[in-house]
This record gives sequence, structure tokens and C-alpha cells, in this order.
Amino acid sequence: MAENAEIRPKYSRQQLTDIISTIGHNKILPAIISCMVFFALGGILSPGYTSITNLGNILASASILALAAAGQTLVILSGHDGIDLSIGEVMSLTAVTTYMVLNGNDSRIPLAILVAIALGTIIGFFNGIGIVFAGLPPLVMTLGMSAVVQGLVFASNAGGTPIGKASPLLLSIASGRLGPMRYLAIVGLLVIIIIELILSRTNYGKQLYLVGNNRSAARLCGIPINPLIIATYLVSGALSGIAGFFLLGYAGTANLDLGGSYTVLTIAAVVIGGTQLSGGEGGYLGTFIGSVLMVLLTTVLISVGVSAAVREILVGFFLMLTLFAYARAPKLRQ
Amino acid sequence: MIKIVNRIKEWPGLPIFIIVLVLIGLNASLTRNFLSSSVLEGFLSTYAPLIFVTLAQALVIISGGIDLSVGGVISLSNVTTIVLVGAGWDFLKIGPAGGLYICNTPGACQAGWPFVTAALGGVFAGLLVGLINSFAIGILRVRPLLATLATQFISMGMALYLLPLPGGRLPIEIVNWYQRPLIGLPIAGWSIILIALVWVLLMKTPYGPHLKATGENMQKAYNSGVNVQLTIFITYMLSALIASLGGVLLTMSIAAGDPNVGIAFTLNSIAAVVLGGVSLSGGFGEVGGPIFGALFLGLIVNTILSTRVPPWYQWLVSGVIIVIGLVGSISLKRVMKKQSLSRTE
Repeated sequence: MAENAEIRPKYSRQQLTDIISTIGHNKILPAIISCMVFFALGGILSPGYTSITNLGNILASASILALAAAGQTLVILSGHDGIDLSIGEVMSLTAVTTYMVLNGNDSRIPLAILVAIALGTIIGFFNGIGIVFAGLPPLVMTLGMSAVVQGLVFASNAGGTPIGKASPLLLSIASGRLGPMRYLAIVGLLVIIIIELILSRTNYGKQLYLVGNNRSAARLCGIPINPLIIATYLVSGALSGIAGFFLLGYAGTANLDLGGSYTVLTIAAVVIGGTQLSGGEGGYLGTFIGSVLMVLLTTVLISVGVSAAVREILVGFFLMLTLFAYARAPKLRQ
Repeated sequence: MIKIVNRIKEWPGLPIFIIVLVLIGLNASLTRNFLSSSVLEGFLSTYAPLIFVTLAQALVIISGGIDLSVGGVISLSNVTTIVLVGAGWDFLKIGPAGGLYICNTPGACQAGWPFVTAALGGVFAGLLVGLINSFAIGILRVRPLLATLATQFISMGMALYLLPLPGGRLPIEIVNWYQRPLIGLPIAGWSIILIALVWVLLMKTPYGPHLKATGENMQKAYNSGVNVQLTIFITYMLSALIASLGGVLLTMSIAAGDPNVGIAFTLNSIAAVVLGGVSLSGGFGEVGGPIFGALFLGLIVNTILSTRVPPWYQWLVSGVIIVIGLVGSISLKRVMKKQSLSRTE
């Protein structure tokens, strides 16, 4: 065996075991298999589901979810019950502001992106401050913030439907395609590469895992925990801001609750992707696959004509099933 | 006497109690007749459902968990009650497309159930959700946050299935009965007193100490012989029961069904519990703090309404005040903890 490795030194044995253990450890494999099963199921239940065009559509839709779930992944990795429940509302907010800022004008796209990122960053910053300095549990702080942001969305339109227009360029980014690949899917792939690089290659990424794993050990190592946590929530806000920008392009028109359902979906994607809710363990690739799985589940149900209400019930049960497989607490009896 | 003073001083709900008193004073000066019985009756009738849901949440939080499905449960109980009142057994036939609207054609539906039976049906529906929670969290050991997130999906979906759009109505006698005072207090007021009494009595049973032990440290509780699984199972069932009773009160208060009515209740109940001085880490808490926390949220909305803030700013203002309140109450607690620590040193 060792000799073989010497003859074909493409992967050393250590590297191979590393790769296998990462796959097994991150629990990505079951998610990939589920994806295949759902995709095949869709193909059986509705003809045309397995077409390359539809696959592109699924990836595009999953990319928006995965973009929002990137922030959720970082926050959950940071540990100490880290969770961001304001993601969906931030997406609604930036979708609406993009809609208003653009007003059908392509030249305002940079400004719209800037506004979206700035708003997301500010909200994320407040989340971080509240959690780190006021000592609020992340769940409470971000849930409270989601109420504030919802109020902001409502106030920004004086309670009516938002006035504005998505611009042609944004719409073509969201719906255009390069061969079978939609531009959005390319954005998604870029995000995978960037986030994975950040997590594995930067100091921030390494520190994040350590902080999530063992906060007191991280403190002893001299890691600046508070700034790191604040930065994580800030990045989560900014990423949801960008996700809201693309969501508007995808949806075409804005409404006051465009992103509302995304909060829960991001958590589902992260958990299915094998990231531990206790923090410090997991990665972004899994989250992306989890996002694809959530979109597959929804689209398969839509393609067989299941109503929105029943879809919600079935997604709930599916979520419960995955939680049973992934997110169980240890036994009390040792 | 000193004992009593000390107990009041150590009551975690004290800060919120004082703030509620201040807000009542503020409202009395802003709104004419705020302290008149009819306004107070209206206030209690409107906020009794929130108080119920808050207590449901408090129970779960004391057990060391969290219940994100209370909003779904209250929606489901509201919608089920209204559909049963409107369509009786035909609710089985009411699909996502028609909703109750098919019953607008005379003779399309069977006679609806009387309100009390329908309300029992609503509570039963809520308990089904509670059963899923109890089973998943108590026996399968799924994390409460995630399990109740899933059941929130399930219960909201069920509510949406039964009644896709707001609608339906209650017999006017029921609405009047709910609003009318009975020996000085409206039904809502009596129900709050009743649920508080039940809570106090419940905590005197072995369940009370078991609940707190489980919330403080599950492993230690288990080692000292507490049936942790059973305690958690009961807690989520009780939570669903209290929340769906809140849903019935809500039905009487709004006299209609709305599948989305519960959405805001999840945050508001958690906020009210935290404002009421109950720690989210579990193990501690009593009935008074959360009730005053819920009253605080109600008074805030009332104050905003009376200051004539444009309606589209009301959500924003109340959201900001809730966050400030949460930050304030947690910071206050930290400061008090530090002081008592430095005193003992």
C-alpha cells in the first residue's frame, strides 16, 4: 500500500485519509445522495425535470439561498449558540431598497449594491454589538433585530407597495445564461470558492473554528474574540444584503416580505450541510449542497403540483427527519 | 417584614413591574380615560392571548429549551376553531383552494360546531403540534431550537391549508361574552388569573422542581433521579396546550381566522419572557415576570398608538423599543450580578 503510494504520488496516503475523513466528518455525503435521489425523483414524477436547463435553474435558485446561508454558516461556526435570525428580513430590506434605488436605471447598480451592503453591514454590526457587549443571546438579539428591520421595510414604503423598478441589467444577470449555466450559478460557485478560501486559508477562518470549538482556549491563545464575533455577524449581514440584491433580480419585482422565508431555509441548509449547531465544526461546501437540496425539495413538490401549504408541511417534516439524523443531543445515560 | 422586602428586592420581575407601572402612568396621561374600566377591559382582552403564549414560552425556557413553534400553534388553533365553527365536519373537505369561502354558498356546508366544541378542536390541533415537539425533543433528543423551527413550518402549513386567507366569523354572542365584564373583570382578566393560579399550583407538584432541575443541568438532574425525558415531554405538551388556549382567546378577541396571525407571537413571547427576568439559560423563573413582560409589550403598542405616530412607523418604533428593552434588562441583570458577586467577596 505504501509502495503504491510511492509509485503514484498524486495523493499521499495521509492526504487520502484526510480527504475521506473530511467527507465522512462533514457529513456531506448523505446530503449529496439525497440531492441525487430528489433529482431522480423529480425526473420520474415530471418529465423535463432532469433537463439541463432546469438543472441550471435549480442551481441559480440555490445560489441565492447559498449566498444568504454563507453568513449563517459563519455565524453558526462561531459557536456559543450563534445564530442569525435576521437574514430573511435583511434580504427583504435590501431587495426593496435596490428596487427603489435602481428605479429601472442600470447606471445606479453600483449605488444599489453599495446601499445593500451598507445596510446589511450596519444591521450585522448592531447584532454583533448587542451579542458581545450587551450579552444578549444571539437568538434573542437577531430575532429582535428582525422585528426592527421588518419595521424599517414597512416604514421605507409608508406601508404601501414599494415604488421602483428592477433595472434591465440586474434582470439579465439574474435570468441570463452562459450555455446551460445561469450567471447566478456562476456567482454561487464564486462564493463557494471565496468562503472556502476564507475558512481554510485566512487567519480569520482558522480563528473562527477555534473560537467556535472552545472559546476559553481561543482566549488563552490571544485571539481577539469580541472583534471576531462582531465581524462575523457583520459579514453575515453584508452577505444577506447582497443576497437580497440578487433576490430582487431573480424575483423581478419587490414586495415587503420577499426574503421572509429565507431565515429558516438558511438554517436548514447549514444543518443539512453538516455544520454542527454547537459551532466549530463544518464548512461551506456542505451548506451549498444543503441549499441545493432545499431547492430540489421545493421544486420537486411544486412540479407535482403540491399546494404551498402542503409544501410547507412536508418541508417541515423533512427538516425534522434530517434533524433526527444530524442534530441530536448526546444521550444522558453514559 | 424585612424578609418580604428582601423577597421583593430579589424578584427578577421587579424592574419590568416598575416599568409597567410607569407606562400605565404615561398612558393614563396620554390617553384620556385609559384607567376607565372599558379601556382596561379592551386592553386585557387584546393582550390576554400574548400573556398565555408568553407563559407557554416561559415554561419551555425554564426547562432549558426554546419554542419557536408557539406562533404556528396559535395560528393553527385560531384557524381550526374558526373553520370548525363555520363548517363543522366539512373541514375535512375544505382544501387549500376553497377554504371557508365555499361555505358562503348556502347549503354548501354542514352546520358548524358550537363554539366550545370547536375551541376544543382548536386546542386538540395545537396539542398535535406539541406532541411532535415533545416526541422529537424529549425522546429523540433533537435540539429544541431546530425541532420547533421544523414544527413551526408544519403548524403554519397546516393553518394555511385549513384557511389560505383570513376570513370566517364567530357568533356575535361569543364576542360579546368575551368582552363583557363578569364580576368586575372581563373573561380575559379571569383567564389570566386562572392560568397564573394553575401555574403556581403546578410548580408545587413534583413537576415544578423537576422542571427547574432539568433546565439548570440536565445531566445532574438525570443523575439525581429526575425523569428528564418525561419532564421535557410534559413541558412541550403543556406549552402547546397553553399556547393553543391563547389561540382560542385570540379567536374570541379578533372574531375571525387568520393563518398568519401567530407570526409576531414567537418573537413577542420570547421578548416578554426575557424582559420578565427569566434567564434564557433555563432553570429559573416564575409566573409574574413574564406576565408583566407581556403587559409591557402591550403598553408599548398602546403608547405608540396614542402618540399618533404614523401607522407605517409603528412596527419600527415598537421593534426598536423591544430591542432597547431587551438590551437594558439583560445589562441590568449583569450589573446586578456583578454587584452581588463583589458584595460576597
